[in-house]
Amino acid sequence: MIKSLKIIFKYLQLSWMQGMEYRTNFIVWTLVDVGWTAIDLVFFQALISNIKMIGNWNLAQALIVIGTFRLLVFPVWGWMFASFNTLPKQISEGKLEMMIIKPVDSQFMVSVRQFSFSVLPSLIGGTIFLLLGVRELGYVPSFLNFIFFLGLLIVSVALMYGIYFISIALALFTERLNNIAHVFVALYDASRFPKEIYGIILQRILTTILPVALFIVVPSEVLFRPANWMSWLWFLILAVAFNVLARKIWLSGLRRYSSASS
Amino acid sequence: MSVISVKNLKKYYKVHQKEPGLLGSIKSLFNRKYYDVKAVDGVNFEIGEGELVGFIGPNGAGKTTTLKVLSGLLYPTSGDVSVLGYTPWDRKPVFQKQFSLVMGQKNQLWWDLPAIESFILNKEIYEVSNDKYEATLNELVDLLDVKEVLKVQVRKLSLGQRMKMELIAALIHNPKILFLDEPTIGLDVVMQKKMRDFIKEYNRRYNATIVLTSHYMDDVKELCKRVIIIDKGKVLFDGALDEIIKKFANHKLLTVVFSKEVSEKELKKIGEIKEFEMPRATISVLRDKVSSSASRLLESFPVADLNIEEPKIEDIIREVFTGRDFA
Repeated sequence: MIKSLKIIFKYLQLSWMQGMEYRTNFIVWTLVDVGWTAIDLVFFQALISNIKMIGNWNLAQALIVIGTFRLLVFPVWGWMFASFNTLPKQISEGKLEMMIIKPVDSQFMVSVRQFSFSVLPSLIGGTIFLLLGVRELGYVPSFLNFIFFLGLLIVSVALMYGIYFISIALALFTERLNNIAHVFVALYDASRFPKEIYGIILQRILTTILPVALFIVVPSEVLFRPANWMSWLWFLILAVAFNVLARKIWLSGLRRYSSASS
Repeated sequence: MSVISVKNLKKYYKVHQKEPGLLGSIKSLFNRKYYDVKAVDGVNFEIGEGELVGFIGPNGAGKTTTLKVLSGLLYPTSGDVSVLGYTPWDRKPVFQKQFSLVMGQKNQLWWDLPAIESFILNKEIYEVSNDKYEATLNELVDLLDVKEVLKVQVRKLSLGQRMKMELIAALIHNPKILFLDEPTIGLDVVMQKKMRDFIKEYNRRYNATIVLTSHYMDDVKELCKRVIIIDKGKVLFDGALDEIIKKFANHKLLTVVFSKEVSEKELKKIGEIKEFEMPRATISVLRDKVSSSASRLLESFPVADLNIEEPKIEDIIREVFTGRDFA
């Protein structure tokens, strides 16, 4: 555990240093993230000012949802996408090898090898949205609510990691699966909308087989809805199930991995 | 005592065949015909502790595939492999801490950062203590003479400097076994020599077992007492470098300098002419006929000088790979 933390810390350091090497690139992408955060705010404000409710959320609740979405941009883009983006290409070109011969779990190695800090504004923006949302609620959720909120954020990250990693691990079974890393982040974008905007069948799919509709909604609703233990338990089961499946697919893929010619 | 044991190792790949042209591409989209490529086909060998073994063969012979199986990157189709008593593809960390793989065409260094940062990362990954890390790093930096460029971004290093840094990154945990796949590829002759000197010294100093693949015969000749020749997935030869001559070269070379013009037609009666440019000729003759051929040359031609030589090892190996008969 300590070794894993040390490695993660070292990768964080290296990624930060790498980011600093190309200042313009870092500044441009940071500004892009600021822009997306601002667009989110404008978009939701425009919606709320016209229709008062989005699905079954009012302004305060929508702000909490968008705040939660923005907070999770960091693990999705800053961690997972940064680590996974080039992985399918490296698999097809045989460059995975230098990672899987290391005396560290190979899934861990490929999952923490790169971070991007240009999405840090999303963390700040997300926190501001959350605070604004809570203020708009008219009451302050209890301390326990915040603890559950943080707990479910962690479960959400675990669930997203499981699903995202499955999509990436599939590259081990194919000769080429370029740009697969972009599919999940596109799905993540759709996760901030209430599931009611989809039809019944799609709703079922998006809460079970591909539980995109739960990523943001389950943790954020802790702050403005009564406790829904069944929903939380289902969320946890899904996170465990997708991670177990991701592990199996990865190990099975490694057995089939034929590398690339030298 | 052997630290690497390979018994009847086979590694087959399934590869799909595509007919040429656009139509072929469309057909292969729906109906693919697969066939097996026997990258490694029943390879056996044992390597003892501290040995420096050259693994040679033409492109596609199965050298790199064998190294990848030995380092646990690939699962074999069948066969038994033991490296330091471990089955490589079990990928146990305790095993992975004891070997290193350096591939001349693949890198592990962070491109945008000085190599020292990658060394520190490997220190954490291999759980090397601070004292051990400092001592090993200083020793390797001195041996490879790279102190000046340790803090320069990898992308700004020359190919030779980069290869030296790759070696340090691979050796920072002091592995007992080192797999080197084309470590001198693309390097100039001066840098190739430096790399060879380093590999030799590393083997001597740490009694490390080293398996080396290279297309440069100079690497093999200078470093390896023992070579394993592999072609089409099978071992053709395993033994001392000198024995290659005994096993594959049934001929010797007579190098003659003539004092007067001679007829090429007449010369062909002595043996196979390899080179002929007056006043010099090189003739290949069967080993058991060397004496009689030399006598005939001296009797029938105006010979100013005559040398009897073994053929060059690289020539023998090249001819082995092109399937020539040496009889």
